[in-house]
Amino acid sequence: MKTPSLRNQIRRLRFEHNEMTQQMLAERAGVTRQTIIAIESGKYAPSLLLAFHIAEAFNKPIEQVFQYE
Amino acid sequence: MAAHQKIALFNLIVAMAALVLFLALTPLFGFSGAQAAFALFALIGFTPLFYRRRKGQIFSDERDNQIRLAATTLSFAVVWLIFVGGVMGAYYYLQHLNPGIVGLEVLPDLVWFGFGAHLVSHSAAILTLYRRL
Repeated sequence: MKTPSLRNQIRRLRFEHNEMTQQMLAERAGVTRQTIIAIESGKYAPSLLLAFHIAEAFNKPIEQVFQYE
Repeated sequence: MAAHQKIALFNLIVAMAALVLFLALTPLFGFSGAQAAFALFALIGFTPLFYRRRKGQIFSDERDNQIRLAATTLSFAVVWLIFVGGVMGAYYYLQHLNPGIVGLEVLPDLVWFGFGAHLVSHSAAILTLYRRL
């Protein structure tokens, strides 16, 4: 059975938003840069609240940033 | 590097330095005298300095809290096993050998072993979890 995972489009969205740095996204989402790195690389699954904060930083609905597969 | 990682690394270095100094002093001052090396643990009192933050810097978030919680749980299990299984076991065994008399010098050892086990296991768990999560 395939283990479900949380994919994300953070890296692509950062570049589409004037090459937003990880630090800038971290400040907007209210977390550390290390957490953004961990989420972006798929090592860490954020809480629902943080996922909404990140989506809000890109002005996108959450499903366009995170996909459950 | 997150502040919690810096603190964990600092604590591990202090613990290792104390252990090395203790082993180095034991031939010179004996087991009891060499325990003065554990005074190095006092340096851990400086760890609040790592909590200073720059303007606008986010110090801790949900991932940090999750890592600290996992490390604390793991550390509790390690300390409990070592302290109850080893240290208190040794204490009661000594009491069995000399009923009613346990050397006063044994008491600080019990505290140091428990404290040292917590410090090392907690710090090691934090450093490992930051790499994994």
